[in-house]
Amino acid sequence: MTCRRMRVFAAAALAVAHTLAHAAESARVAEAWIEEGPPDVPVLAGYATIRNPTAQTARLLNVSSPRAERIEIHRSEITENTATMTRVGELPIPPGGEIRFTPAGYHLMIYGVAPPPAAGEKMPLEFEFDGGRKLAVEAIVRRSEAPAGAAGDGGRVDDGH
Amino acid sequence: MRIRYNRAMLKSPFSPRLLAVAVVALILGAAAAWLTDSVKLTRSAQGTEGLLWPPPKTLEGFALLDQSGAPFTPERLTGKWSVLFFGFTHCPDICPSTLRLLEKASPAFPADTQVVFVSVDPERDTPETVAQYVRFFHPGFIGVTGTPESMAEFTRSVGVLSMRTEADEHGNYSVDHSAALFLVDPRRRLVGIVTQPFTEESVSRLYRDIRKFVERQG
Repeated sequence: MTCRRMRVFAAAALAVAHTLAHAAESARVAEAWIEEGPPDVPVLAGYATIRNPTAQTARLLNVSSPRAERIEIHRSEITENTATMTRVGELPIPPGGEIRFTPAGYHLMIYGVAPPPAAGEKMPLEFEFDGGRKLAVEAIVRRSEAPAGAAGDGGRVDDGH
Repeated sequence: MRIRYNRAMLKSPFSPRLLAVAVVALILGAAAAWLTDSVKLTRSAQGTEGLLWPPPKTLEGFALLDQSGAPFTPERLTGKWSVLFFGFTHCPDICPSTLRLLEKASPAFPADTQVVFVSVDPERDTPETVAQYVRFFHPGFIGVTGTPESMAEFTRSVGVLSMRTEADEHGNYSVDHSAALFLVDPRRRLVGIVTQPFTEESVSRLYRDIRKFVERQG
């Protein structure tokens, strides 16, 4: 094999390996948890980390649970001492990046869970991404330890670089 | 977006109103020099941690309800120190984490301190709703609500900005609101605020320092 041929072969092998690796990978949901809420409060906040190891942007379209009336993606922000909360439609996760939901940042707004789950319970969540891909995860219900403003990174988007 | 109050006093630390009451921004070296003798309020890595405003404004003439439905009037802020936090029970994120922080910070507060959660959403927050909400975080916390009109008047007098967002197709709305802590002395004077982002440590320290400063002033 000539040197040139070897190089072509190596490049092809790398390309195949790369494609295979990415075909096996897709967006993942980790560390899902739900803030234990006061009794009779109609909304709960849920958090998770969504990683996208692929080379394409992944889009989180919807989150649902058989135990909740509905779930929306929201983002809280504290800007100059004013707390705001806005609803986010679909959420793009950059290629090779991750989005971490945190208090005072991105969170799942979970409506109508009755009876409300107690700390230690698990609640099933389904994350739906573009391309029809659905991921089922179990979120643990617990009390947060993070202080409000100091939680600080505000739903950080890490672009992986 | 429905603007309930536009006195966005806390929107900018340099609003005319704040300047008018001669705010001392703790980050200023000049302020540090001025305060050398009295109180040391230092600059944090993030910038301003709190504000102290002489001459303080006296809070009066309000008629609200506490979590048991009893009147919450000026007498309730008299004779003790109060840490006021504004929020609403349909807020699952910032309000719980701030109340958790206060729950953790409060054992270090002097005994004559009351932590008061004030609802900026009196339309949905009844005394019963507020009672369940605050009790979940700390049995000693006070929850306050009232008629929309009386609450509007109270938040305006404290200088709290609160804006209700448009309701979605399910009738749900959020309330944008000041997320700072307001310190009221036993003479019902609004003596300072602890600004975001704060921590358990900075809340305790600023409360202690501002209190010490105010007590020395007599």
